[in-house]
Amino acid sequence: MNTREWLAEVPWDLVVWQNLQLCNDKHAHHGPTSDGHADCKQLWETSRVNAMTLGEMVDLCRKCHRLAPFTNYNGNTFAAIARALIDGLQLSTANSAIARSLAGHIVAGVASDEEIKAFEKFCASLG
Amino acid sequence: MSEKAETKNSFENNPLALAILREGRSIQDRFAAEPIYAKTGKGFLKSVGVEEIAEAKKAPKKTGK
Repeated sequence: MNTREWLAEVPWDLVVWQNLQLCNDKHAHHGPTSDGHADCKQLWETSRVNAMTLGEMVDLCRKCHRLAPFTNYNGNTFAAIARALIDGLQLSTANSAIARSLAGHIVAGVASDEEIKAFEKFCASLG
Repeated sequence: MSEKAETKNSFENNPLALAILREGRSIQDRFAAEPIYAKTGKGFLKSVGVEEIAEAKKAPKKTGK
């Protein structure tokens, strides 16, 4: 399966910046959590330099969402990263929307088994 | 300006950062602020039904896969 350094240009500082912007938009507190931030930052920084499949990248975003490194809007922060990276692929408008929707559901932790399988099939189709 | 502040501010001109932010803002209202997934093991996302995909299918087709 095709692997690439999906997150090579997404350092942890960028993730923090994203969360700050999203929290500011909603006047929500932005800050690190005491129990999730350090572990998540380490996971992100050690993982992002590795080549991985699209499915692995999306699952990393899901894991980081679950670790909840920020006080607010963890899901949105990591779902947006996965979706934006998929949007960067040269896909038809419809396929991009479907793939971004599936990835968003997976990162959010609400994907059904059917959605997970559909996304796996999509990832395999990329070659 | 401190190095840390420069790092934070530099993303304002970063195309990828801005693309990610656009995505985040477009789906912001579907997410809860609180870390529900971490607390409960179950995620939360407001459904938009088929709207997102239906709208995409209506849009002019781009060439590509």
